[in-house]
Order: sequence, then structure tokens, then C-alpha cells
Amino acid sequence: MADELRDKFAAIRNGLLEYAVLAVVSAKKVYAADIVQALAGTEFATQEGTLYPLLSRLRRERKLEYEWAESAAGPPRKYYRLTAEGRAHLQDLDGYWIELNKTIKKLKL
Amino acid sequence: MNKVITINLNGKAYQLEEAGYAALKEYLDAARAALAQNPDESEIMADLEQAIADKCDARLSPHKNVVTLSEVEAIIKAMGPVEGGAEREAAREAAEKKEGPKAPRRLYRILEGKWFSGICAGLAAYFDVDVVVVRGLFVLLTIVTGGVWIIPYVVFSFVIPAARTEEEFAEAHGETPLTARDFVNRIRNEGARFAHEGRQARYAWRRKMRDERRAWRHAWRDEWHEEWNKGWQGCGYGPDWRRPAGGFAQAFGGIMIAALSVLWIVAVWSFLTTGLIFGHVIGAGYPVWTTLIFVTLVYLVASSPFKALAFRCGWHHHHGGGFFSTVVFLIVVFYVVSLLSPAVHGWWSAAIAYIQTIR
Repeated sequence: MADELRDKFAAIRNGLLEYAVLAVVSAKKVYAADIVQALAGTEFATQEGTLYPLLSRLRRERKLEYEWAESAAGPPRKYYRLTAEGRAHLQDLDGYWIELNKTIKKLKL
Repeated sequence: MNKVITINLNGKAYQLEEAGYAALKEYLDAARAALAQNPDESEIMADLEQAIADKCDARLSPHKNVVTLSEVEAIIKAMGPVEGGAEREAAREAAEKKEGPKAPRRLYRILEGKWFSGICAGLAAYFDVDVVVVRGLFVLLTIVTGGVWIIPYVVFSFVIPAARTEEEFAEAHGETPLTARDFVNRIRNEGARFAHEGRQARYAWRRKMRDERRAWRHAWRDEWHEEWNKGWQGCGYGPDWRRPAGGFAQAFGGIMIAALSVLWIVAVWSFLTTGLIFGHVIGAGYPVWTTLIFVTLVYLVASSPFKALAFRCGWHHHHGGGFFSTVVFLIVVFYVVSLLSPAVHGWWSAAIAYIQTIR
């Protein structure tokens, strides 16, 4: 049952990954491995191979920005945060997500 | 016992078993291929390498300094395949848009293969004729108008934007066939655009001057040393040719081109007025135009390496700017020419008198 649902919603989860990543970044400044960790174990579990191109695209679309910060272990890391535009976009996504839920509820009445 | 290969991951050395190296190389090659269309390819690759390096670090200790094949496989599995899918699609869409029948043609200065500011090349692309024809026309107009044509040329170099992006190059060449009606429309539109952009250019002028001056200063201070060492090696179409550096190379190339242009103009001028080039009779018994073409060819051949130096190695090309350097170039040329040739004073006063009669 769970597998069937997972398959059915694969495309939707893919489409929502950007939303999920923006949600993680909105909470606090994070670097890529934090995002992987935050999403691991959720429906949006994702890997670096997918995440890095996505982060790069979001940055190009000016929804995210990053700054370099020294880390205790290893080389400096890129810490991501939302831009004003990214925050507005996240609000739009929130609104749309609520609309979708409302629609489903309405259809059941 | 396995052979070990040392690799560099984003600036740090790691030792991998040979089979592990092969697996990782395959993974990174596939990633690179998937990101081939991505404008941030090199940055994403660096991020991926760093992520792999972090995962290697987690498996290494002072007593264990080799990453085994099974560990490399685990790392690759954790990384997951690199997806360039969305990016590829976007790139294809952009390409289709570019190839679409409605790609409007617009007038740009084209800096590739330019002589001065790329106007002739831009016009040639716009009207779909050979650049030689446009240049010939411009030279003819300059001679016929006694040099006054230089003024519109200078104005054009200020007002017409340089093609900077792939899209703009596509627009410069445009796909639309040239029909009589859209020719007229285009002239009308360009007129409006010129008026608008002329205003914009005036506003931007001061700011641009300041920024470019600063950029020049920084480029000189920071990079002349490196450029000097690299010399000619940094030029040409190697993988490096886009690097945003080259303050010194560009300045040196620009000065040499300006000097050669001055020599060329003086040679042509003295040939037309006295029949001599630097005191020598050249091409006696041949028609005048053959000598002019010969002198021009000599100039082009002599200046081509400096053009390569100035325009292919430098940030000039990278930023596609050229506005400030064009102005500097023209000022240098006219200043030196007017110093060398008293005839040019007459030439300019005639031009000014002509403008006053128009008024």
C-alpha cells in the first residue's frame, strides 16, 4: 500500500521538492548537507546529485543566495538563505498548497 | 593488495583504490555530461566534488588513509545520479525559441572581428550582406563627405548596444526575411529605440565612466604581473580564453592597435595628399586603390595579433563592454592624428563649418 502510494505521488513529490527545499532554507541558514539531513527520512528524501543542481537553479532564479562561512572541520561552506524574492515565492507556494487542499476537501462534500 | 590512485577533489588530495577511482571517474563524467547545458556547471561540479570529499573524510582516519572500492560505491550511491533534466529541457526550449520563425532582428554592434567598434559588422549582420561591403561603403562615405561621416559613426558607437549574450547574437543575425514593409517598420522602431537609448546612454555615461575607470585601475594593479608572465600563452581559443582577466594584455593590445591604426591612417592620408607613404613611393604605376588596399592589408596583418591579445584574452571580451575602450581608442587616434598631420585640423574645421551651415 505504501509503495503504491509512493509510486503514485512520485511526480508530485518531485514537483514539490523545490517547495520542500525552500521550506528548509526558510527556517535558518543551512548548508547543503543540512538540507540533505533535514529531508532524509521524510517523503522528500533527496540526494546531493539532485539537490545541487536544484540549489544552483534556485540561486540563478534569485530565490536563494549563499555566503561562504568557515567551518570547524574542513573547507569553508556555502550557507544558503532565502532572498526577499524567495520568501515571497515561498508564501505563494504556501498559498497555492492550501488552495489545493481546500479544493480536495470541497470536492469531497 | 590493491594499487592506489591519488586524486584531487576540489583542491584536496585523496587516495582511492584503482577500481574505486574508475567508478568515481565514471560517476563524475556522467555528472558533467548531465550538466553540459547548465550555466553553473563548473560550480555544481565543485560542490559535488566537495560533497564527495566530505563523505571520504568521514571514512578516513589517521590509521586509514585509503578509500576502498566498496566505500566509493557507497558514496556514489549516497550521492545519487546527477540530474540535469530540467536544465536540459530549459536549454532546449531556449534554443527552440531562438530558432523560432519570429526571432526579431535587431541592430547590435558585433565585437567579434571588429575593426573599431563593430558597427560595420553589426550592420552587415542586420542587412545580411558581407561586412566588406559595409566597410567599403563607410570608407566611401567618409571620403565623399570629407570626413564628416566619422561623426555619425562615433554617435552610432555610443548609441548602438553591443551584442553580449547568445540571444543578442541570434537577434543581431535574426531569421526574419527582409521585406520592404518590415524594413520600414524596423527603421521606425530603431529610431524610437535610438532616441530612448540615447537618453539612457547619457544617464548611464557618468556612472559607466566611473565604473570602467575603476575596473581598469584594478585590472592594471592586480593583474598586469600575471598577464606579463603569461604573455602570449594566455591567448587564443584555449579553455582559458574566457577568463575575466587581462587588464594588462588588453591595455597593451589596445595601445598597439591604436598606434598601428594611427600609422595606417597617416599612411593613407599622406598617400592621398602627397602620393608618398612615409617619404616612399609605393605602388608606382598601379591604380590608387591597389595601394590603399595593400596598406590596409599590411595594417590588418600587423594588428591582428594585438587584436587577439586585446579582445580574446581580456575582460573586454568577457563583459562584451567595449564602450569605454572604444571612446579611448577614438580619442587617442584623433589626438595623435591631429598632432601629426596639420591637414586634419583643416579637415575638422571644415566639418565644423559644415555643421554650422546646417544649423
